[in-house]
Amino acid sequence: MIEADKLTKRYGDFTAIEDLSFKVGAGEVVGFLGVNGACKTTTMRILSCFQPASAGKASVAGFDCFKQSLEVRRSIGYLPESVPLYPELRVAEYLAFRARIKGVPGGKVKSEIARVVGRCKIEDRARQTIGTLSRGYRQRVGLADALLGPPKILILDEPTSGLDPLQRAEVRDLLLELGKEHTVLLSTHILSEVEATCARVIIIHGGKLVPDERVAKLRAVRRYEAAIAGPQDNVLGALRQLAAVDAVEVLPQVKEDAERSGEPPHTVFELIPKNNEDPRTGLTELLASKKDAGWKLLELRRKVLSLEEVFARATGGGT
Amino acid sequence: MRNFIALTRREVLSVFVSPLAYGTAAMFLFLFGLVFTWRFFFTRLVEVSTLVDPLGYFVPILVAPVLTMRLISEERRLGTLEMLLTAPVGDLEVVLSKFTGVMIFYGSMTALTLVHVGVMRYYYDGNMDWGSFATGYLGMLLIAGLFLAFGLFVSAFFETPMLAALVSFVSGLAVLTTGFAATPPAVVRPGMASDIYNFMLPFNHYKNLLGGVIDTRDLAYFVLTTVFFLFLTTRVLESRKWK
Repeated sequence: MIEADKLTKRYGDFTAIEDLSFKVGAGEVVGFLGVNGACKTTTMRILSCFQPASAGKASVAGFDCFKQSLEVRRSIGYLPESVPLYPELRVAEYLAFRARIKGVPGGKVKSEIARVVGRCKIEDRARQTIGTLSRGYRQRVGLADALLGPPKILILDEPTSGLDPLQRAEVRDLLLELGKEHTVLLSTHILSEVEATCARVIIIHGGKLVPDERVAKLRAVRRYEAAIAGPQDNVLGALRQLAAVDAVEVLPQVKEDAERSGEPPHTVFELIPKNNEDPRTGLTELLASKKDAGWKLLELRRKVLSLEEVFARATGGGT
Repeated sequence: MRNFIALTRREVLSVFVSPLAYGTAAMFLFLFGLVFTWRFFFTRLVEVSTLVDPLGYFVPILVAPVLTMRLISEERRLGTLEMLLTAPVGDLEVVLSKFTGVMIFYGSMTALTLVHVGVMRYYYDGNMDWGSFATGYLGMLLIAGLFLAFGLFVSAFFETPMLAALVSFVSGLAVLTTGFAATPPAVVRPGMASDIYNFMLPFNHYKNLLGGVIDTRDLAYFVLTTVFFLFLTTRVLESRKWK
């Protein structure tokens, strides 16, 4: 649905984005990540036909963003980051105007507005002047506007910026629902959001794409955490002998926590498996054989590198 | 066309809820009232120039910048231009609708000055020269159209409305003063150069219409210059694509 092919945007000597290529398939919900200033907005402006790229090709819904800009604009709902609205109009007036210029047939304008207003839960504000709305409501009016049509594709630039945690959660729920009907490309730098809403992430850093494979690889690294009661050195030695285990580390424990939890004295080990094999079978067998020596498994859990860590490693170097 | 109507509706709506527009209308009507009272009650001349001579020349130059200053610059400043131009509307439709919207407001203000014509009719026994009033009003709208189109064009360059207003006001003033100070232009010898020079000044064409003369040259002048500035405005909007 969205295809960027070697997009490059230069402002004078400054290269904002360089050779950016990615694809978003129909029905996908994709998060567009990057630190502030990573030119997420520039990329989205190119996709929404507000600015052309200096080089490369962008196409949305099968239309070229530069040559068939009207067709592209007909098939997208775009929400810029700052949510610009006309402050002097009432919400209903504004949405009626937007519906008309987006080509909603005259007879359907009312029902279409009712639909998006219900979707974004702003029924009670329809008569209010936009200038008097709070930031959260403005954001929702912007979202309602993007939904008018309804468009096949939503391009949302930081749809949750400037919202309080409660409102963020609401928008997140809304996005989850929207993902069922629309193809969504949303940018954000709040990572928990992306984890909750997006099936896939595209990370750009310094105007370049962090390859999908690298992100996938970082996300695929699994670690296991095991809290085991028993003589620390012996257990460590035994764990290192396990076939599926690549490396074992002793994690520092919070002392106070150990006392309060009332658990017997134990050590927490972090196991990094070889080639993503599952070391848990080996571990249980080992512990079963050492049962008489008093070794006891208190806790075992699998850790996936959080997106936060993936992002930090992808954009900050690191492994 | 549908887009154009929707866009124009929005423009008209925004103008008619804006305090600035009402302030401008008040100023406009006050100036016209002043000119009329002064002229009519002293000269008793029943002709359209009574309505505008001499301060009336000044009115579009003063009023047009105030009405047009926000049209594009404010949209730039608020970022609504991005919303507008990422909707499926053409740049030309946007420019034309803004022009039409502000023209409708200006037309409504001008229509209110018909009260003065009514007053003249009430005190006048002879036959009114309705034809000259018609051309006079046509002239008022045409010259307003030119200055509004110019103001719109200037507005497309700035993010600060005040700056746009200042630039278009000063430009208008320059045109007006050259027109008055330089008839016949002292520096230009009579001949083709002087004719061209005189033809360029909008107020010469305006005077003809106020005098009840309909000349296709005057009409063509206003239509072409207005269209020219609207075209330039469209190009300025499009320029985001070359940057």
